[in-house]
Amino acid sequence: MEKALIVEPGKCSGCGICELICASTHYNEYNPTKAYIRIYRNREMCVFIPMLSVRCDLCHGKLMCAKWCPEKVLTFLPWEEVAKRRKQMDLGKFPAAYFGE
Amino acid sequence: MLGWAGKILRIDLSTGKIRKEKLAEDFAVKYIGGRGFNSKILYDETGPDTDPLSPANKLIFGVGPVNGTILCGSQRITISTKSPLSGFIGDGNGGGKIGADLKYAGYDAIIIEGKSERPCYIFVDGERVEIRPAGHLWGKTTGETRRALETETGAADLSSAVIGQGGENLIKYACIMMETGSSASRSGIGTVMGSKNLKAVAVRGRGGVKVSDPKGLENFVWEAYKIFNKQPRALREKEIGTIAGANSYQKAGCMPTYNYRDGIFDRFEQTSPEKFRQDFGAGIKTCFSCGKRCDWLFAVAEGPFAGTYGTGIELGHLEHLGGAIGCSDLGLICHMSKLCNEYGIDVLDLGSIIGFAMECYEAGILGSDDADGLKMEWGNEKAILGLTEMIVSRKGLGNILAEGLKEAPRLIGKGSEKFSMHVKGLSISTNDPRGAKGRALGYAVSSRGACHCRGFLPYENQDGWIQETVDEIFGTGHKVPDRFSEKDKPELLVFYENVSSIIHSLELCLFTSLIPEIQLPGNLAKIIKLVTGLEIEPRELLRTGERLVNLERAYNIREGLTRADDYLPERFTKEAMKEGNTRGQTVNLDPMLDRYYEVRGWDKQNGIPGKTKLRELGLEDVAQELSSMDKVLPD
Repeated sequence: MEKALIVEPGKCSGCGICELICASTHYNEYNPTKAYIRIYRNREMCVFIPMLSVRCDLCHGKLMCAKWCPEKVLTFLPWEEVAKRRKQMDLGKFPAAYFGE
Repeated sequence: MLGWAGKILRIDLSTGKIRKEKLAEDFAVKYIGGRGFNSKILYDETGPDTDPLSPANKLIFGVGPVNGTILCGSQRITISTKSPLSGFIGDGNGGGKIGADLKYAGYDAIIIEGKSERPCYIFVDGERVEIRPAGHLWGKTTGETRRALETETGAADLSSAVIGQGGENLIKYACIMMETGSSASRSGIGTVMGSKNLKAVAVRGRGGVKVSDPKGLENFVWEAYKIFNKQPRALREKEIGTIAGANSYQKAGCMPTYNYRDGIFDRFEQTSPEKFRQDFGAGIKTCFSCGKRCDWLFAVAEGPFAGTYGTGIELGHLEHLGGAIGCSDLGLICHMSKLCNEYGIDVLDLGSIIGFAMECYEAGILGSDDADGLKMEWGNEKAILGLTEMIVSRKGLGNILAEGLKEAPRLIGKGSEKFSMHVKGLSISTNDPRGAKGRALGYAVSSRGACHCRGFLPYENQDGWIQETVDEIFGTGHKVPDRFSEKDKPELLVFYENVSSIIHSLELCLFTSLIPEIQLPGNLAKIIKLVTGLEIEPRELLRTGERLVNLERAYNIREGLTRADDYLPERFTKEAMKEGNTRGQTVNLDPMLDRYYEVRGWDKQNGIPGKTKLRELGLEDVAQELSSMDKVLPD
């Protein structure tokens, strides 16, 4: 994949619109389990972490999740650009989000 | 059928039998979903012989055709029952993600009947539906239960509807909690759940929803967000939460204060919405599918309530746990909000019953001896916390107060009724009726009791009326009535109740429907077409909303409702507001009620729907049934 998804989870509200638009774009169905982007949550502490499936293909350049995110959590950047900024990126400290079956 | 899942789940807790019933298309089109489905099923399957806390009562979870889609705020759920609080039809409406998950699991509704011999919970996992033992969960708070269910099921993003000790101990205004702060609260739906020994309904949905015109729907939603992102009210709610509305009410002089005696809170600055968000806001959160957002995490870092956290602090919390009980301690308000969520009790009714007790104490009707030594003065922290514990555990005075705003004054006597702010047993809330006469009428006539949602009339004293709505009803250019005016309000309320019935049946969030581009019937019809493919003419859709109001009215008439039940406490009709911008106002209810009945096509005596009206709405069978019960139907 030529671009990386940069996430700012501190801004994520957990709305799941990214999941919905992703599934709709690829499968014509509103179904979060089919989306290539998923929100992992710690509901008690309102921590929402978007994660990407290895199957993500940037929807052929349309980048629908980033376009639709109401909180501007998601940005796609070329890897070289990310490399330049990686040193400044503080990955933070927060209550862990959960995954389940 | 697109949009709808096509299946209704029926679970008998007495026998353990689980049935899946096909959703009939004509039923779906006639009642749409959510509250529509629930009320119709309740009408058919419960009645005057149904004791609300008996196995014969039904607890119905209903979702609508839009649930699970990308429509903004399309994840609400309505939970309905015959209310143990009012004896009439009752429901609560909540957010979170469960509305979407129930649809993803493949169901439009769950009908729960009977009573389990032992505490249990229901796990809806797509095709697999199980009734599981919950003895180990009984006695736990809603939060503890929710976390235990996640661990036990291992389900990712489990949605759950849970009761706490409130429902278990049959507090008459027990609620059902969805997520950390999302609740379906009113009418004692949690009480009914407790009476069935049902601790929780857990849902995992791994399916999806297909709609008729996804591109069209997505364009529609995109345009709606453009509007929300410019609308001052929406932006305020995003920044501060629904508590932002308190500023408007205080300014308008109809802020619930000292048990609705006053309309401005003297210590408002200490509990201002801005201060609240600034001092305790620690993160953001929203319901599934909603980009408009109004919720936030509160976390108390210092002071006597340090360590308290939660979500779901709404306008009603700031009012009923704040000024209405004379409390100006934000930390205490956070703590009480959390407590209500953990115990599973309706904040609005609890605040009102505490306010009732405090006013009785002030008037000398109740003494501290009646309450284990508690000095029930306005804002007294020990009293607020102490009464809450007594109510939840049904000890002493708490056992009486747990019975609710209609029954507790009856048990206490000594003229205490005049301090009880309720209609049909349900607490008045959010807005002093004297400050907005349309909403006042709405409280009096709403089917479940003093409901602030059915007759929402949102702009009556906040941002101002939407000209479009007024034009729709009266014709272009009609002068927008001010909030004190009683003229035109019956017509506006009738329209709005019909519209909110559609919104409740679709299971769209009220707060994301507050723009003409969504809430006018033509636009609601557009949404239905985009989702289901069905073409419903706007006038026909409005009739569908009207049908629901009439059906719920008929349910209540069958239960013995008369005009005497469509009232307001005398505080609002006889005591003029003393200070603030609602100074001097009282509600002159009778003329508005007469006109409301007339516009509705109901008889003047008791507001019984006429034969013509019922026939027009396809409710001939209802007309026949009421006639056979010697209810005199007008023509």
